[in-house]
Amino acid sequence: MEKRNIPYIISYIFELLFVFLFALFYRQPLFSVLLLMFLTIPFISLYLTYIETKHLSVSVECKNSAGVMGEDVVFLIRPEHKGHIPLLNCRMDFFCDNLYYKNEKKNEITFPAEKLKDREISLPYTVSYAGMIVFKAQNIYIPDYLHLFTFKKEIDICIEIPVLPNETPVKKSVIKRPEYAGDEDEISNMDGEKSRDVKEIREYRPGDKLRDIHWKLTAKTDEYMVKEYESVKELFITLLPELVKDDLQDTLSSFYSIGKMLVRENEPFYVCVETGPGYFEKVLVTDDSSLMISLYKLYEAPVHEDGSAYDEYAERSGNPGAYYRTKGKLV
Amino acid sequence: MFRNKKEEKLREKELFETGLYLNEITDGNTDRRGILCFIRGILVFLACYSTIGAVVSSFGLEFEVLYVAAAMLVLAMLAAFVYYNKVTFYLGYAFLFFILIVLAFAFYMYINSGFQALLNEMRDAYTAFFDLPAGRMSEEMIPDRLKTVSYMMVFVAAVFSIFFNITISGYMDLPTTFLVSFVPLMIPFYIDKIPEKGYLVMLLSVYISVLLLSRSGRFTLPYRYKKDMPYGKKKEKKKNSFFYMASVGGMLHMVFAALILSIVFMFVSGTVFNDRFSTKNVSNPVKDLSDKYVKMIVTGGISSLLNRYDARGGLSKGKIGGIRSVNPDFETDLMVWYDPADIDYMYLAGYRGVYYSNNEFKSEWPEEDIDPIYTETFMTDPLPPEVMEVYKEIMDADLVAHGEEAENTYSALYGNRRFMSVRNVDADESVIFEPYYTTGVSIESSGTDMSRYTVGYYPYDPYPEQPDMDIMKPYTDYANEYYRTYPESLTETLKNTCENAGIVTGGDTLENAARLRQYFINEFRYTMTPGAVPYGEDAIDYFLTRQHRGFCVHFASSAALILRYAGIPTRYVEGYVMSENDITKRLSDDRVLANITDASAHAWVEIYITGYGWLPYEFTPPAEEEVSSDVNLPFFLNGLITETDRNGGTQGGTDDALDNVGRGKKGRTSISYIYLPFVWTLCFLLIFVVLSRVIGAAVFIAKKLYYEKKGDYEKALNLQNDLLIKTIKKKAKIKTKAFFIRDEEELLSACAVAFPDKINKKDIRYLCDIVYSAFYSGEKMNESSYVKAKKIVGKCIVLLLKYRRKISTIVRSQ
Repeated sequence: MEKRNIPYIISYIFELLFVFLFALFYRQPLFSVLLLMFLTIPFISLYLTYIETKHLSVSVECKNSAGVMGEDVVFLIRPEHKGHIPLLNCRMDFFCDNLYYKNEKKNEITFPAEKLKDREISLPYTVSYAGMIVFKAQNIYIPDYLHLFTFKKEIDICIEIPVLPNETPVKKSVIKRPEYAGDEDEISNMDGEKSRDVKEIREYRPGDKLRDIHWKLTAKTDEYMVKEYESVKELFITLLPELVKDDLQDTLSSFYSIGKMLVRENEPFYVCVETGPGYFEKVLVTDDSSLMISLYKLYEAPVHEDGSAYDEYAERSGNPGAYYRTKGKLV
Repeated sequence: MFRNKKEEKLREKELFETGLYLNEITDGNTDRRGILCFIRGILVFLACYSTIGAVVSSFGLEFEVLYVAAAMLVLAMLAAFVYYNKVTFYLGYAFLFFILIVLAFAFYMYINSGFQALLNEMRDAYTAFFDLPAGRMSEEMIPDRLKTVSYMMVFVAAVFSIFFNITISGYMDLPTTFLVSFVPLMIPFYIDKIPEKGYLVMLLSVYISVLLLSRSGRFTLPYRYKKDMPYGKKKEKKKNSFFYMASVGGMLHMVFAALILSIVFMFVSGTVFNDRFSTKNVSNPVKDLSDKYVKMIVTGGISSLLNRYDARGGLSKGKIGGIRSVNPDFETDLMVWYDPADIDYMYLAGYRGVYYSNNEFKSEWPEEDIDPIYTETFMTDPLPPEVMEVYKEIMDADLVAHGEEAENTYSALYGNRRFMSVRNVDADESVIFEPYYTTGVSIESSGTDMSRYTVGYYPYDPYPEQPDMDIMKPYTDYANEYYRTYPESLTETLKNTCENAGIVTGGDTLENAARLRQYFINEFRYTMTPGAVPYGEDAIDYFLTRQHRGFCVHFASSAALILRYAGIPTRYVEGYVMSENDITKRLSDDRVLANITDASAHAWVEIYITGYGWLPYEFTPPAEEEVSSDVNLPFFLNGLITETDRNGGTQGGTDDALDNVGRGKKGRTSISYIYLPFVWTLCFLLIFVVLSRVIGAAVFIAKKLYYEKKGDYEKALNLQNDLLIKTIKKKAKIKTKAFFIRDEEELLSACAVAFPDKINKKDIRYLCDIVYSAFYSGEKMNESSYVKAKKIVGKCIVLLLKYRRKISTIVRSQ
């Protein structure tokens, strides 16, 4: 039973009492029938609601795979009722928030569930900011026909829909690929941004560098094994978006615009995302889908009051030269 | 796009703060406000038709069912479609009132005659039920009742459709809907006139529909929201609520379900509509009180509720015919300070009626009747002060000469003179209320203010010694001349009454008076609700010949005329009777304060006894148990738990129904009556459960047979296997939805281990295999496999049910 059932119960008791007193004093058959009605209907109502609740299921889906700022993201609630008697007051509590701007305000929607009618309730949300929109619904509440008791049914629905930032034109000159500094030895001066794929693992030959020894394999095989690298001459651009509260939307927009531009230019790049305080994750972006993945990760990243992520990362990595920090409209 | 600027601002605010704004919710359903209004119209029609039809039909009146129903349906629809949109809403009711007025003007004669027909039938039924004297029949200008009643019904339906439309379409509220139909419905039900059950089914279905619709869903009026806006919203601080406005399917379902339920209710409880539950035998304070008022209305019309006894001074000032009933307000009229001595009660006379004409005992003689001989001495008003003083004393039965001598004589006879102070609180201010044997009135305030005065008096002796007083001679002549007159039209009635009462003309005065009093006690009944005197009838004639009931005014006025006929001079007196019960405070000087309410107002007779003077005489029989008007909670509750047995029988053989309130009714505790609905409720629930089981079983068998006949053995076996799984789940109290064949096999195998002689593991294995194959392989099952599997399922179910306890432990342990 819920709190909201109490006024209904009280009013029902009053109505029952009214009929009861009339029946007592006047003993008219009409009042007897009304009394009978008032006494039996709650049981029937509860019983039928209990039975019908078993036949009810609710699904929610989003019409859009991703949202666009300024446009609607439409969630569709589909109550499916296989019972014969309609449930007229199904209530679903749900939260729908942009993860960057959580307000945790509860929403509740009351809808009927009927067997004969395939109802598709659309909740069109206009979105004004980029971010991850999360739609959550845990339970569905079904009061009986007299509102004297409420049955609960778990549904556990969680839908995440990203809203893409606006893409603004970016000049190619803004972003330059870091140049390859020289021979193999100089790679070490760069912060690992030379791509070095392992070509093969072979036995140790004199002259091999100590750092190329594959220690794990050596331990297993009891022979020195050495990794032989195949040098890749490109160095990747790394974007490090600074998620600062005041410039959040601009940062996202800049990042997204640059990302799109780089993808169009077939320029692979890394996105450095802060996954937690002091923890960073680098995501390689080579196409639109990997750009989306990086964006999703970014949407879940913490937002700071001031921009310090870049500095922190730069301090740790030592040489920030190859990084592009996006903060607000600045790159 | 948005309704107003406020909403636009809100949108902007939300978009800025949260980046999200929920626009208007839709559910893909087209706007069906027409159907919504139509369903409401049906409910309004059912309510109107069942209410009015029930009333009319229960009084045996016939009407053009088809035409009336059609007209009512149109009216109900018109009313319901008022809520279609804002324009119809603002103009609709004006249009309906216009129809009402047009109907009233166009068919005035028909409608009026229809009403009169219904009223006549109702009056007949009520007078028969309560055994009341037949009242006058209203005149029906058009005698064709079939037509007039039909017109009247349509007119009433126009009024009721507006009311029902507000309660049903407007608010979907059960209590108000019930109240609107309650008043007319009570008219037949109150006197055990049971309408046809069809009307009751319709009415019940309306009640149930409204109850279910108002509580179980949202049925906002169509006009209140924009088109294509099926969901409303309510924004609060902590949450936003969105709710659907209306559901056509839901409404239809509910109305249909209500109809079914009401039919079932009527079927189950139909037995209550028989004589066993006759309300005639019901007696409790509440019912008795309402009976009293109902009878009052029946005998005197609704106006009788307002036309109550005028509490101002407790006087009707001789008006006898115009009072249908008295209902004291129990407010203090007079405050009296006096010395009670050994007096049980005391009369305070305020008005004296001397001449009876046109249902009124007037205080003055008509001028043309006054004999000039007496004009100067007894009738001139104002008399010279000294004459007035003398005759006032005489008229108040002061036998002795006035002045000091009188006082001395009285003192010798009855003791010292006493003084009574009177304060007029709410009585008639133009009247001085005096006790008998007064010696003078001293009015405190000057001029016309007579609200405070003091009266000297001697204790009352009903029949003292008779001193020989020559001074009374002229007055006796006067009294004999005038106070024995009566209207000639009443001669026959008075003569018959004298004969019946055994009054002998010229006989002993007090003996005759005593006989008359006894006659009244035997043959008449005291009541405060005697009802109205029919138009043109003489009140006393009606009282003596037909009514045989009344209150003090009737008894006193009649007695005055009867005795006059018997040659005894009488006067009709109104005032108050003070008794010890009125004393509210005892003062230090042996005096008391009495608050006299209008409940103590009274009328009595003064009989002139030669040589003695005017003697107050009581002709009103003692009141029997009256239904108290002092309504309070204990009074109400008393009726619930106490048995009200009033089988005292009627006194004196009179059968005065108005006073039979609660009398002669079978005493039965109200609470004992109420167990029946509880029993029915239990029976109903039991029937409901049993029926649902039986229907479930029947559907199961029918399905099984159908599949078997069709050769669809997979489905038939699945059906039975489902039952088996349900039984297992019940025994094991397994709540999880997923229950696989391997679970079934596991649990049944455990049972097979426990009961190897009943079922073996091989069979279980076989069953599960075949069920599995029926589910997944898609191969057709042959009949022999099905029969074998069916047997195993049957065995398992029987086993589970037969050894439920043991098996439940096995199953649970698994």
